Amino acid sequence: MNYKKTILAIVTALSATICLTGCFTIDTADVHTTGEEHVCVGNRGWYLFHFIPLACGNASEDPLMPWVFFRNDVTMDKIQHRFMSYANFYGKKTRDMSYYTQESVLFEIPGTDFPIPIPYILTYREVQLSGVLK
Amino acid sequence: MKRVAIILACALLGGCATVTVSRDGATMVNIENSGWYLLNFIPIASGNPARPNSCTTRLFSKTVTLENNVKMLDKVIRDEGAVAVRDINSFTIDEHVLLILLKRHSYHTSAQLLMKEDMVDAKAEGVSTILPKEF
Repeated sequence: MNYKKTILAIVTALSATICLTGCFTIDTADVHTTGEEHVCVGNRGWYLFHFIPLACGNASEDPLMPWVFFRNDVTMDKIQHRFMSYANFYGKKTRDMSYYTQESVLFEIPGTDFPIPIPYILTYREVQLSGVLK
Repeated sequence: MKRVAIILACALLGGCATVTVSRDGATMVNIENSGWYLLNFIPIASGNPARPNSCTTRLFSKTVTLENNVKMLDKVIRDEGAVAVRDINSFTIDEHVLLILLKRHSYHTSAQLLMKEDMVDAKAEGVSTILPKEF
């Protein structure tokens, strides 16, 4: 009975982690000294065996939910599309655009500092695009 | 011993806002602000963007934002007397402890500040961001 409870707790915690850590963000801030706007767009997601998307932040323009399941939204195309849409909406030109990507292929066993020794079982991926609008 | 452990835990969990300026060949500025969150959303301790490079921490307030990093950048631009800025770049890093129980969230921003003497080269490269005179 305790064994079942433990498995249920681990599955619940994993599900919560996958949902809560995979999210799409657009951060903006005005650089007052230059009169420009600095924008950082990012998306994160979890993948099974490196390729099968489990849950990602929803990069759609009108999202019903903050996450999408089994659809890959952590791509440069989708993030750049949102960045350019934002710039076009405000009629601004873009410059200083640069990408930052991060990937963790060794999932750590919950409660320990030891990763599961086989890589690519559960992969976390993150793509961020930062730029300046003028 | 307990007190020491508590102080150490607080120090480790404290956020930190740092501004580093490197002037070797070019004036580069790197800004980092970090903080700890409970269950992914509840801020525990974050760096104090009003006083970067000091051991001050803001408790229970979300200061790790792009807006605060850009405010610190604005201040550096004024303090350094830069006439233009280019290659502004930002990214975030999240580190999780025990799944979503504890999260360290940090926001990094870097840029190159152009001084008067840099502007000859910069104009040749097409940099058009000249700051207004009041700055």
